[in-house]
Amino acid sequence: MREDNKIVFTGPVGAGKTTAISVLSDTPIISTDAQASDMTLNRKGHTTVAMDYGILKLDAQTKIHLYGTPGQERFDFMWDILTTGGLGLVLMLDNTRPNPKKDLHFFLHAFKDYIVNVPVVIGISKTDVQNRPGPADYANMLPEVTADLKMLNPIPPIFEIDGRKKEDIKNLVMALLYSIDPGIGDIL
Amino acid sequence: MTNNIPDNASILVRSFGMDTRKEAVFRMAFKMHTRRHYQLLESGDDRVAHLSIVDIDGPGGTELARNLHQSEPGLRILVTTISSPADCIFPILQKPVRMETLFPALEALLLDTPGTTEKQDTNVKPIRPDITVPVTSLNTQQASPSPAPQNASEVPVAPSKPAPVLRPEEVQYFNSDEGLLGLLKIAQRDQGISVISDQNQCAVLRLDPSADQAAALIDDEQLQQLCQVSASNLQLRAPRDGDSGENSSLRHMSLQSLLWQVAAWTANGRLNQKLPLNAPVQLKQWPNLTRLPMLPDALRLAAFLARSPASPALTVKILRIEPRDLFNFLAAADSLELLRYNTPENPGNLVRIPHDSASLETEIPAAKRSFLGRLLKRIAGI
Repeated sequence: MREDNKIVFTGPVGAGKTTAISVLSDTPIISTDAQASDMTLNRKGHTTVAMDYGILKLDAQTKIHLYGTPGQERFDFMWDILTTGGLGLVLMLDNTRPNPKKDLHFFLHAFKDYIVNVPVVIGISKTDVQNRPGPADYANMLPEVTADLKMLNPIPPIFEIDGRKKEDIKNLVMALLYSIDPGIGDIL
Repeated sequence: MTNNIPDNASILVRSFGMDTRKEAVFRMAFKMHTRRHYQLLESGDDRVAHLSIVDIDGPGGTELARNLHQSEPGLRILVTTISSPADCIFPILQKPVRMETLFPALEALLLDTPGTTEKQDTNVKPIRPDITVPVTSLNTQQASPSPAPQNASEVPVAPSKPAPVLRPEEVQYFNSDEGLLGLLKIAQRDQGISVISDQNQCAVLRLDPSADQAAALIDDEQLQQLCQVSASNLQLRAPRDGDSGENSSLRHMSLQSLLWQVAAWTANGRLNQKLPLNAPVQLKQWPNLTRLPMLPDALRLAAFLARSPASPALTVKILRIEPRDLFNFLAAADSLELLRYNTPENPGNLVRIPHDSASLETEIPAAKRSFLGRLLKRIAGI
């Protein structure tokens, strides 16, 4: 697998990672249940962690691997295995969570080494339920949140995303591609 | 025989020196790998493993791998470590473990002939993340040395479209403070609930800026026509009884999307007179394009102007877009106060030079650009 044939989707539980991957994937999403011991949970001492995987086929030889990281922050040790090369990071945030700014800070820092070399795009879900903060508010948070980060695209796209609207996901990922190179797709 | 494991058979892997968290990472990776089925054996599983992965960063160190090799000389061992010990006789999988390096390392190990003392004389090189090891089937070993896309030679190089011609003397300008757009900007600034009425005092738009809401009492065609009339025909006033009239087809929208669309219609291929053709402009932040009427090349323009400042003239030249599309986009972005440009009237809105322009100037290889272009079309067609 070429290193740059993948896109990583991350964000807290329920933010819309699975939905986003399912829009793009040509195959049914593989949801992997990684067994991870967790001392606080069920009587078997294990919990299952959902991690999504999809494939977007460009042609017979070329695939784009779509990885969705587990959303639970305590499983962040699993994210490292995915973050090398790749086209970019799609960060999905749930606007109904109690502290979106904290989520923004956490996930950008969790992938801080990754986003030095690849662009990040931010999708805000559930704005129909909770419309504040809006994209402009998140944009205003960014300078403070990313003050200690080095990002390839320090002014990332921040879009409202409705998981029921395929066009929203498409536009978010196209924004990711244009963030790599605004000149792509200009040939006849 | 480990060399002859059928493609559809499971490859059993045993781990040493790992805690349950690390094992969980490998289990997750194995489940995501679809070319072959790898299975990490549980501690109580007595089946004979085909491969072993030994983490030598723990208390056992390299001795753990050596002792294992002595007790089970036929077992193929891959060590994983954060460092690169010079005296290691085993293949090394560098930490942090990546999907891209794990499976090539495992497949290389499967293809390798198990040995004992011969290993000490072998020039074993650590497998490092920055070396692209081709993923090969067990039946073939074909080199794939090129870092370019595998099918780059198959991608026809299509001719670039001719660059649009921008003749400064042909550029027309408009005043964004006049007409319907001007009134909307005033209403947005004032924040109170208001109405825009036509020359007959009939309400055409109801505005609630604090809620970012607007309602149109006319259709889009009429609205677009209003964008071309002079301000004297329109009035911004307080709402009054009867403004809704008999109009039952009120169309609700966000004020942001109304401003965006009206600005683009008002520009109509003309450049905002506040923006000199050869002076830099820049986006402060991306427009929320999933909730705004999509303008031609809006995604591309936003990406370009968010990364570094550029003049309208340079933007047309580099991106090869139609000047009218750029001018309409700039008008729309300016209506939402998303643009930075240097004007004496607004010294706080100056263009900012990016701190690290080196990464922005990195040339994208042609092969990758072609690949990205194909991916873009693929996604657009979903």
